[in-house]
Amino acid sequence: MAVVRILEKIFPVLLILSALAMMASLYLIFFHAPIELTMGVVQKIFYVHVPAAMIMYAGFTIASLASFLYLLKPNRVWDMVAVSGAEVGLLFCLYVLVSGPLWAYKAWGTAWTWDPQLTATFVLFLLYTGYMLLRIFSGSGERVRKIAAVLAIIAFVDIPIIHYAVRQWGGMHPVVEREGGGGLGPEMKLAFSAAMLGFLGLFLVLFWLRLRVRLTQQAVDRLYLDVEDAAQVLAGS
Amino acid sequence: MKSSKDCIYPQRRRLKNGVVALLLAGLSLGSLGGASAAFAQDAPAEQAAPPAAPPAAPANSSPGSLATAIAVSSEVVTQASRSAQRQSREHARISGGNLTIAAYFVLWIFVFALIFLTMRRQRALNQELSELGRRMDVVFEDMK
Repeated sequence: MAVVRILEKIFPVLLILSALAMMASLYLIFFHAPIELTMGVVQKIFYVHVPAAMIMYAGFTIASLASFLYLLKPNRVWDMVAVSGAEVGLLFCLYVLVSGPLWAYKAWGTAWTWDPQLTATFVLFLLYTGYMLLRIFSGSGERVRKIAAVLAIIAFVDIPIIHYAVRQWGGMHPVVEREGGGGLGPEMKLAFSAAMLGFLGLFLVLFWLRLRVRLTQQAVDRLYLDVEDAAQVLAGS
Repeated sequence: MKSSKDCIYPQRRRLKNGVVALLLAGLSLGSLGGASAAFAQDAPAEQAAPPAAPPAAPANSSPGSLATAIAVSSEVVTQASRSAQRQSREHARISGGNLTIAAYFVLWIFVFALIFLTMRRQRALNQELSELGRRMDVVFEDMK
């Protein structure tokens, strides 16, 4: 596949750029951005928590879009893209659910509360965990792939619910940039933008690594079948 | 970044303490009014408020019972604030720096774990692929 060959070629460049962006963002977060006055140093969790949430959105969006395309046209590549997106999304969803309580323990005085946004994120985690468990334990038949695709599309409905939960139902989750949040200072904004860029690169790297494993797995499966066919032909002749 | 809800828990705690204090003050002025008055006047409770007697209404409460109610409620507030201080001391034991380090540490653990597992699987698949290619070559050699 031409696209795969191009991606394979640009991958080292992407890897280097992502690593540089991550290092720059870490420098900006810890040495350039000031310490927030009310929350103190714990506010620096924000610089990884929000980009991780964005990656989570990106992963699950890719998973649901690819699942939709797979339902329209059952091409195995769409299915592999969907699983890879869900895997990366789920990892960062778990990270959001870990980093958020670490911040909240200091800022709110409690690690967890059943706030609408937090609860919706937890539900999203459960839905895509279900999706992944279905993929792991139910084989790789056409029927399973279609059921998983439907599940991925249904689970996606939770993403706008999470995003607009604060506006719709209030709750304790703070808003910074959107929906009337106070915004960030220029140094904080720079560190946050660098972190977003670094995380975007990280997402692309991880997504490609997971997709490449699945593409290689497909090539191995195909080759097994070819070897079997060739062996049968040999035995027949 | 500033959130108006950052300190919601201490506020809630204070509000709760206030509500409890008010409730106790109300109870002191009401059903416990007699006993409280007796306590304030250093008299036996039975004498001031016999068990069969109906509870004293707030309107009938004397300045003594009011003083007792205030004393009781202030004691409740003191106890509650001590408890809140104890909780906040426990809470402050984990510093924000440690929580931040933990958050960044967990991030890199997650990322490197995924990369490590993916690379290990990729290496195994590459080996399998080259082994299959070698077997295919053998099969084609035999066919020739």
